[in-house]
Amino acid sequence: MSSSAVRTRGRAPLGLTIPAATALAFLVIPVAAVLIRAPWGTLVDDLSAPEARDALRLSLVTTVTSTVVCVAFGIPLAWLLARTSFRGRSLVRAMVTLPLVLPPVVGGVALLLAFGRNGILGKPLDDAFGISLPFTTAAVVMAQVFVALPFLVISVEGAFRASGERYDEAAATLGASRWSTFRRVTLPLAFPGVVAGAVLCWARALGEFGATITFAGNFPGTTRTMPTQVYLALQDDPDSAIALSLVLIVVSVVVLALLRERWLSGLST
Amino acid sequence: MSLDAHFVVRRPAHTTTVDLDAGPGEIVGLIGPNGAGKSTTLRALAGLLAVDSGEIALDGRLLSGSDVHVPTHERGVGFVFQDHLLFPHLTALDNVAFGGRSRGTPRAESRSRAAEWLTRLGVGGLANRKPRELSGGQAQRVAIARALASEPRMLLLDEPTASLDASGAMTLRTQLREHLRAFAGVSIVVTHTALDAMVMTDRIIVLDAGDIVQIGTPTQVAARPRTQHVAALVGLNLVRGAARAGAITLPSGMTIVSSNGQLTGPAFATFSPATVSLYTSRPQGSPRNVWEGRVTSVAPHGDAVRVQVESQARLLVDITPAALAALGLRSGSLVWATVKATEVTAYPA
Amino acid sequence: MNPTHRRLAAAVAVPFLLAPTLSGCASDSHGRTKLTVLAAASLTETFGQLEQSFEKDHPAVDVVVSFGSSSALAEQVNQGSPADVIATADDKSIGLVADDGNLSGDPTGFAANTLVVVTPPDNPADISSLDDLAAADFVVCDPSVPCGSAAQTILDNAGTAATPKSLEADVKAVLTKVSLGEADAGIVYVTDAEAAGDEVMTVDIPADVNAVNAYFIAVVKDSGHADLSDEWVSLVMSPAGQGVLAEAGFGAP
Repeated sequence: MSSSAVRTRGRAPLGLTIPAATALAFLVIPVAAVLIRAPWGTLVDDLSAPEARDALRLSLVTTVTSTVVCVAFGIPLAWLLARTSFRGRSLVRAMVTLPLVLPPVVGGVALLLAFGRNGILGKPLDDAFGISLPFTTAAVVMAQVFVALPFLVISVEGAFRASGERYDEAAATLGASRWSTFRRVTLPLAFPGVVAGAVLCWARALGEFGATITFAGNFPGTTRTMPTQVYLALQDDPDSAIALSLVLIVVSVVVLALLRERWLSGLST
Repeated sequence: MSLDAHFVVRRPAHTTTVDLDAGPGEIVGLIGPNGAGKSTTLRALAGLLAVDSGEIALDGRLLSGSDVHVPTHERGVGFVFQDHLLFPHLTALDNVAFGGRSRGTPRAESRSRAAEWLTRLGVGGLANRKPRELSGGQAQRVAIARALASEPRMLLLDEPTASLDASGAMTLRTQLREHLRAFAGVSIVVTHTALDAMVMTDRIIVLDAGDIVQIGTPTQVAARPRTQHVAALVGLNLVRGAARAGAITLPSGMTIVSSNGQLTGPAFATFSPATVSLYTSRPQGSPRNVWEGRVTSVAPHGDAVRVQVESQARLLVDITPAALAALGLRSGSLVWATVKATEVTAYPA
Repeated sequence: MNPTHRRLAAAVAVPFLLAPTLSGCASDSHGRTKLTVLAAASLTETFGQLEQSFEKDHPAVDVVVSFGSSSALAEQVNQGSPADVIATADDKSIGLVADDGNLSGDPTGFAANTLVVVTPPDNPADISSLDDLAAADFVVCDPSVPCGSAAQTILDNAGTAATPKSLEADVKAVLTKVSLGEADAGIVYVTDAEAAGDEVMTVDIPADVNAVNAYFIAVVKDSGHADLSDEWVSLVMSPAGQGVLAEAGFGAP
């Protein structure tokens, strides 16, 4: 605490600082352990091995694609939830938050039952167009979108709500249609919320494992993303696993640190 | 560009009933206490609220009705909001150009027209500033320019001078009057400030609890207010009672004698606070209006002191500071208030 | 000590008092002794049966069997997870545990498993031999688990260019994908195919190209119940135990 704060408000109470410090330590120590035990000597070799490179590339391509999909489809959904009222709106909101509480593997099973070769949508798709989704990179994107979409929708809906309808009304009095208002007023004002949501969405997609391996499977270059690679490498090539874990941690920390506080605060509204 | 509005809007708090006809170029003032239905009226005219019955027609075109509700963005109704509502992410120039761009006018042309409007409102140099870099008065001018630049058929203003200090308000008021005079359509101004109403409007409508209780020119309304709100607004004492041969008896029993000897039936009586005299003992002499009461508050009021006296009615009295000192008045003091009958104006209720 | 400090001390002390209970050492809440057995996933049905008979003979013992991929289980033991017995589907995994010095004796071979091709009951891709896999969507285990390396060996032995569509994390996952119809075929242990019954159809793999996985069992060094652990191993090696394994499709060690 700054000395002036101490002077005016007194020291922070122990009953709060001790649990807080414990919580922080609990989060920091495992991450520090990875940094300490990382195979720094062989790091470059581990990361340039073909499996690692494949996994890195695949993760990058799929997570960026997933984020774009989430933004393109999530913003309209967030707008609908924030700006319109319809029967069953609270049910829709519950469905949007469902992937947040669902164990990812359950999500994977659900995707399989829906879009698998024998799935309720997957079977007609296969019969009619010969499109089979499991075991494809597209399936990886689908699994990531399923678990990461709520982050974007919630963040953007919060941002839309925060600015309220007043600016929309002002735009209407100036002759702007609902679509024009959305494009030129609502969305620009919600931009920090969109960015925060997109970053969190991307981070969640990057770490997705359970739904991916259940629905998309695991094959190097096609569906083996970084988390899957880490899980499997841990058993016979721990050094590679730790090296990849290090990359995941560093990337996440850098991205989240760049996500400035003012954008994160858009989440809580 | 005339307005024909006869509608009812039902809200949880109250029901607002409006009957209003205005001709092109007319400036109508809308006054009344909070919750009277002024915002409801403006929002219904703008299409932000639907009417429950009745119609709103502008230039003969039906905007709101039982089967019809033209959406706000197709009405051509400009709105100047109380807190300006300038788009925070756009410069002043782009804010003013917004209306033009919404109509499809090319960007360069919208922006040059916007620049003209900003100059006309006296804020031409602020074109590249963002709203958060503007003072209250500057932002309000930009908001007015924005509404006018969208070439509306009708202009609605919600307390345009409310957020300004006295001198800023005065300047804006005079300029606004010129712009509204020059505007070809109907303007409707909601205000809590007597000066706004007096200076800017051609006609005043007084709303109370959702109903229109008085319509008249500013002078008429100010001279003969029919509600406490307006009386307070213009700084008059107002009482209401039954008149008989010039004397008006109030429900509380108090009587007041006016200069109008012929009046009978329900009546209002007004008198200015400056015409009331205060005494610390019952006075003798010609005033026929003498009331005993207690002082409830003493406050500065311009160069004078405004004393509130609770008698059988609440009275506002303006006296000089010297008189205050001489009488030694404070809250709770016993006083007698008198006013000459010739200073009391009475008229039918 | 002032009231705040007393409260704080109590709050800190509680977790330590609970620790023994939480670490799960020795007894469960019913007072029975707990015997922890880590076993490869393919032993699910057989070890489940053996658990029942062991508990019938030892009423004071609660056998808790934890199933998973052999490599993951080996890793757990090496990281210090409490266990009394470990049974793996290959020699590599148990070798990892032995190398770290975490076994109390030499491992004993107790069963052998060969592999077989499974398809959904209606065999949509008409698989009748290993060569048919090349044109089909099939799945196997990831090479990092015993079942997976065995499958890879078989494919190499057969000289086929077939590549799987996915390398699943364990045998059960392969079975699930096949029985759900998501894959046309999979390569799993014979015992898994037997256990799946009608959910899948089997296609034999010729013995000359098939891989044999030797199963090993051993007592963990830090086990708190050396005697009971030995009894479990004896049960597995006994005629009764071997009978259960044979019935499930396992071969002799």
